[in-house]
Amino acid sequence: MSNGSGETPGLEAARIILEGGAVHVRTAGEPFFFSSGWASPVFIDLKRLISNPPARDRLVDLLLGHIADAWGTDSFDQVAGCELAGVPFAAITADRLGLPLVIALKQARGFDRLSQVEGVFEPGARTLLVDDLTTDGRTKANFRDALERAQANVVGTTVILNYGIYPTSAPDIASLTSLADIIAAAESGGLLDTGVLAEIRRFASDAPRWSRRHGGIGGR
Amino acid sequence: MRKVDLPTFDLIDPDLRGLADDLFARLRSDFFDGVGVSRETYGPSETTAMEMIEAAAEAHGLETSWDAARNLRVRLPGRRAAAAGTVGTGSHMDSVPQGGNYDGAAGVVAGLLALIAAKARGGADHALEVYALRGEESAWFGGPCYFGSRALFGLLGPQDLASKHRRRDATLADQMAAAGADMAVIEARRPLRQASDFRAWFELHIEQGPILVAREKPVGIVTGIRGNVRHRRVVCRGQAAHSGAVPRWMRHDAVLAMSELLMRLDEHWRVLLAWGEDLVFTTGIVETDPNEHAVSRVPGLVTFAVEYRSQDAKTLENFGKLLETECEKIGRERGVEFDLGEAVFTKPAKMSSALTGLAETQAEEFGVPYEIMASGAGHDTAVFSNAGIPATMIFVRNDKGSHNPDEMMDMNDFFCGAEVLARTMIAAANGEGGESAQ
Repeated sequence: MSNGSGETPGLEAARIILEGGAVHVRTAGEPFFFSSGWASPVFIDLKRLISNPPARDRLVDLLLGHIADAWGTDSFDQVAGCELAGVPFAAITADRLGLPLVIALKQARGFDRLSQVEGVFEPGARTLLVDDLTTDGRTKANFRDALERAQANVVGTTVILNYGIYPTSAPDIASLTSLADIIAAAESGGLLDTGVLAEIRRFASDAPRWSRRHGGIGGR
Repeated sequence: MRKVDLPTFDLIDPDLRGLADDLFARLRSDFFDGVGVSRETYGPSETTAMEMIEAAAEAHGLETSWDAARNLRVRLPGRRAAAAGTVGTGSHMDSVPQGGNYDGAAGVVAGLLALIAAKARGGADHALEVYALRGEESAWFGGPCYFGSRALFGLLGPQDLASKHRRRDATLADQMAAAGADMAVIEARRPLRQASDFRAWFELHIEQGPILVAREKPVGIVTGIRGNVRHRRVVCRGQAAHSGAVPRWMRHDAVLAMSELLMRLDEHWRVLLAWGEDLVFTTGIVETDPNEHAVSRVPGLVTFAVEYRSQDAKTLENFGKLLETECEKIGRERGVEFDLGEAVFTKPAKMSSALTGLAETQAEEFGVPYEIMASGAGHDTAVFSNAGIPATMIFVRNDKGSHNPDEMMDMNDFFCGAEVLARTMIAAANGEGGESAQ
């Protein structure tokens, strides 16, 4: 699938993210640190895009196409958004699909079946889990567990952006775009300077090593 | 740990390496406390260790003297009498209780080797000095630190001098007097040296974090030292109550309020790191009063410590404001009161780019792999730098951390660091490395 200009959905999403000012880079001084402890020269903040209706709409259009390609049009009973940044994207997706919406929480509150969920559903509900992005997949596993303990049938997990460079614990996440697409879109559109791009490429080629050498955790 | 092929040493020759091995062996055996080494701030053990350095310096024909704060100074006069401003180095002789052997002592021994090597080659234009400084560690007198270096610039105040020893009924002033310090001079806050006496200041120190090991480099060159803000005793006052009879909505639980504060600060910290700010935050002490606390009592009072560090003074200021705001909000929501007490502020120090550049050039000519890095831990050099003296530090790779008996410094890494220190000091004393402090 591509738009008129021959741009793939992944590259188009990457361009929208870059043009929306959501890609922050830092190649000197302190790197960015993700909560999981990875050091990175790139920090992508998709929450910025919820304040930009055209960008937001087009990203959800592309995401819907991607969901249809991956799972068809009648695979889900509900959409679940991950607290916090997954919620707006999940809400728009649920609205477009005319499906119920629930929110998967970071922490349980109390101890009943739905204690780590806002909203209601019957056991066995076929669920699409939506988040803005994933780094190493660990937080997604937490949200998935929350839904499964609530007896949802999590059929699929989708994110707008998967860095795609970490040893992931959840390989079944379907993502619209990736850091590789961001690099390619930035290069073809001249959206980042070449020195910065070179450093991001070095990072992307071995993110655990880059992290370890810049004071973050490292993969073995 | 991966070994590098050793480059060729110009200055740190086999005799000097033997001297260093011997000094470290004696420093370890003489001050072993059964677990690690203990050299107590202004205690007899610190003095004895300094006398060991004094004897070695005199045996090699260097001048020695003790100042009013009982810091030891070793000096090699300059070749040109008119060349004003000495090139200084040094580090501290004390250790934390049950600490490691190299924390501090490595910098004093390296400085001594540099002066001996310089003397053997006919000296340098400007004078060279190495200081064995007193009392750098905060562990012995419960918080304040850098006593020896701050005394050099007349910066010890009444609060420092009144600090209580961790185990004995003695103040820092008592302990300093017993070690032979001239308390009239110290209490009058008379500077023992002027910043303009120094053309440059260097300190070699073992790295106390994991970066050089991770980056597989034996030597680091330091661009800045984190400053810190310490609240030694924050008090949260709520209301004590029966743990069974009082419902949640009527409680003013001091421990829950403190916990909420710490978790909120942890979340701020997480986000600030994501945005690339330099920050560390620690609560190392939490206490409820053992005279009144009980399993069945809602705690009405808790005291705790708060410390945060950054290379950026602005970040420290902003985090301080966040701390105050959160205390106020939680206080309102939970009906408790936070009293942050007194804050002790140590400024971050920016190293001289001319001197880090000079050290880089020397490390490159020597051929040792090095890393440019910031220092997370505080050091005496921050005092010299904040006094206006151009300064930098050389770090030596060290596995297993510091402030514990397991610190692991490979002697070859130490010799590489000492060679970079000696080369850089001699270059600075022969006119390289930019302007002196004026």
